[in-house]
Amino acid sequence: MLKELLEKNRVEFYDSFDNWQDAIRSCCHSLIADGSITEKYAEAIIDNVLEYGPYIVITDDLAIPHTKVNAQGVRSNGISFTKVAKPVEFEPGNPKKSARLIFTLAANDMDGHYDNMERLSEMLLNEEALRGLQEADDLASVKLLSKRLGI
Amino acid sequence: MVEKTITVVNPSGIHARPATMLTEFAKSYAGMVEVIKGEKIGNLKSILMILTMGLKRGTEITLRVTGENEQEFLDSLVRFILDMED
Repeated sequence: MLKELLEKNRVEFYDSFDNWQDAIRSCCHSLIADGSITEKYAEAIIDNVLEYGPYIVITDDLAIPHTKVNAQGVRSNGISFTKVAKPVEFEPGNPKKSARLIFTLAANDMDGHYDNMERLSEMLLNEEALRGLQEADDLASVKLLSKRLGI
Repeated sequence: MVEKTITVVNPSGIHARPATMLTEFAKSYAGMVEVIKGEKIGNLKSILMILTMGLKRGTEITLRVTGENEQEFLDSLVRFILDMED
């Protein structure tokens, strides 16, 4: 999966964001650039978090911004990876809802959404992959990790 | 050890938000809580494990609970999943 994200230019690094809304907009950037989604999808994700809370932070240091299947602004299925040096606080003051690893998911059907989630969680269950992504601080380190683990 | 087989019925299945709630519910139990789909067995206290299993609507799953008051927890787990909303 990392190889695919690298080939599609869907891996980006940032130092920090002023707030989680800006983080989500930036995390959508590479998917917008290749036409998988439009800016409307980023706003749909933000609305979703405002409505349901920061459940997109599914475990320590890991967020998977997404919203309903076939939401406004989704053109095709896709995943992007964003690494932020300073954890993004999706619920300010609650460290359990902060994340540096952000995988944005877009899907235009239910099968696509489940496929995205299955592939992503398979990769992240590999502790070496997860640790490698937590330690990665530039594109070169992600490329090395992808090559070393064959992911 | 006690088990029960059920079918996922909520329209969107056990995607991220329900999976987060389900994981928290499983963690409230001190014993072991597992979900079985086909030949795959996953720890229900791990959200990544749940998400790898693709528990869409209509999926048949077996819940397995091992520990103190296991039948009581299994019953409440079944109710929790069957009552889950999207």
